[in-house]
Amino acid sequence: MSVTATEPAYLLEVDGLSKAFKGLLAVHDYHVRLSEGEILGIIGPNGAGKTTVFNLITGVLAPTQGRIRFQGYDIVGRPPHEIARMGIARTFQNIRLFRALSVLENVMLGLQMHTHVGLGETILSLPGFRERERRLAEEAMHLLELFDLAGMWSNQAQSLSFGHQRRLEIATALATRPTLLLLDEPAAGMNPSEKEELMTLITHIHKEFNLTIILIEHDMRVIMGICQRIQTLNYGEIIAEGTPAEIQANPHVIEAYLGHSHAVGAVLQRA
Amino acid sequence: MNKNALFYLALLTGLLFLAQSLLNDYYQRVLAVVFINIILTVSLNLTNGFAGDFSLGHAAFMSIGAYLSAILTLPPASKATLMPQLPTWLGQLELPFVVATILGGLLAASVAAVVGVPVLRLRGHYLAVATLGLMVIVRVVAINWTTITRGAKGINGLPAFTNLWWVFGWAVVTVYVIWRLVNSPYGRAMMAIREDATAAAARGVNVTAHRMLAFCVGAFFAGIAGALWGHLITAITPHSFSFLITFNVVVMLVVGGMGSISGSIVGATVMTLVPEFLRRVETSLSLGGHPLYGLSQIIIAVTITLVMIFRRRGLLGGREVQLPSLFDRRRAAPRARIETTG
Repeated sequence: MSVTATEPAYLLEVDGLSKAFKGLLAVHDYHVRLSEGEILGIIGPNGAGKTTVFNLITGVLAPTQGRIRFQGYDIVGRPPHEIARMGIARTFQNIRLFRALSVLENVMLGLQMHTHVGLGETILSLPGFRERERRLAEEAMHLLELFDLAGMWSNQAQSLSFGHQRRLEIATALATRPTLLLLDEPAAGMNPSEKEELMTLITHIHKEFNLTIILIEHDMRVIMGICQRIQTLNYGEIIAEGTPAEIQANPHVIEAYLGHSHAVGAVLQRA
Repeated sequence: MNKNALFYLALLTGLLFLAQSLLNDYYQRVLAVVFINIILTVSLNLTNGFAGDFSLGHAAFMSIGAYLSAILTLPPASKATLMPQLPTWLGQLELPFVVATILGGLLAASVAAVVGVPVLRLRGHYLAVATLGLMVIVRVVAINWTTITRGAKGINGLPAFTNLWWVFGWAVVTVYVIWRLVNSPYGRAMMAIREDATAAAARGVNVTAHRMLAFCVGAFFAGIAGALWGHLITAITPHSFSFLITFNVVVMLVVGGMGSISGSIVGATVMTLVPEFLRRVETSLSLGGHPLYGLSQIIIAVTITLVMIFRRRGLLGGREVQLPSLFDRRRAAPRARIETTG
């Protein structure tokens, strides 16, 4: 999107990334070069190491080996909150919201890292503090409107329906004003029409917020519909990479993904 | 502060004047204990209820605040006889009560900051046990550091500085500070950590720093409460601040409802007054000529059990009660409507 000829550097560069849990090699030699504005899809069977890749990039897990550079900075070893502050936001496979907090508070929490308030002005409730809180709430409401959640701003996050919770989680991730957004199976558990809405939403926020996105997804329709490039992981290794069309035709992918090549071929064709 | 809060503050102040002139020493002392327990419960709520770290270290921090403030307020003459081995500068020092109290709180908070580094690596039950260990350490230090603490003998003859106004004033400060903190980005971050620490970190929250803040602010007010308690009872020993105090404060917190400041106030008040009242009942009742000693504990235990069965989230269930608003007409409106239709 905004990659200029004078600025050839990649937004995210990952090289030789490996993670071993005791004896198990969850991720082996993962690598990626991501340009600004790209949408990359990661597919692969359960346990292929997709979520582990996200956990490594966001600092939740420390890699056994490898290098991760974001905007030219080495981010391996940095704590998760610092990586989030640098501009990498994520959602989780099993929706993680602050359940007892209100919808508005969930979004405000994501926004608040950009405004620092001192302990003194907080306790004395100085005008500057109140003004910043007011602006934070306003901005959060604005974001909620975009996600069609403004009407339920005062509800507890846990009281929301599944689909609304997914949307709220993406909203809280966007509240951190990320450059890179990592979406971990956002369509899981959704019905076809909800998936359709989700695809529209992702395409929309991709443009609106100038995002670069990595999307882990099982649903072929979703992934083929919005990704320009797809990586396939199996047993922690990249077994194929290419455009949706290339991936669909790749025999390794077809074999790894569901095992029975004929059946898979049919599934992928339909998608 | 808004008009409403000021009105209630003035009301409470008036009631306190009344209490001071009408109640005898015994009831005034009970009332002072109520306020000290409010300070303890509300401050423990910040750590346990809002940040979600189940700390059992409150008695230890009380002890630290009580000892330091005692040493600072004792007149040099009594220190010369009680603690002749005290370093001379400390022996000569006599500070005003309020300064000694604040320093007691600050020392408790500093200890919390140091202890917090290893202890806050833990969560849940592990953290509870580790903070319990802190209490044992503080007690052992108090017993063995005889030049400063007089060991197991403890320090007695503290000036009886603590009165209703001090405890009331500090309780107001505690509630105000913690209420402000909770309703700010700091409190939001703490509650987010309580709900899901991994997700909080993914939204840019420095988890360790916020847990540390909650732990230290909680310890500060526990230190304050310890100082107030010492100057109310006028004697402290290493055993004054035992597991029993921690246990009582946790019960007040849980009965009132974790994560609710008003719940803590209710819990502390109820769980101070009811046992005190029952203690008087058990000496006046008798069964076959024997006074019913221990009846109050049984009743309290049963009450707690019932609360846990029927209102697991405490009397206020983690919500805040709002006092009826007298000035803000917008907020008062729904009430008025209910009254006219009902």
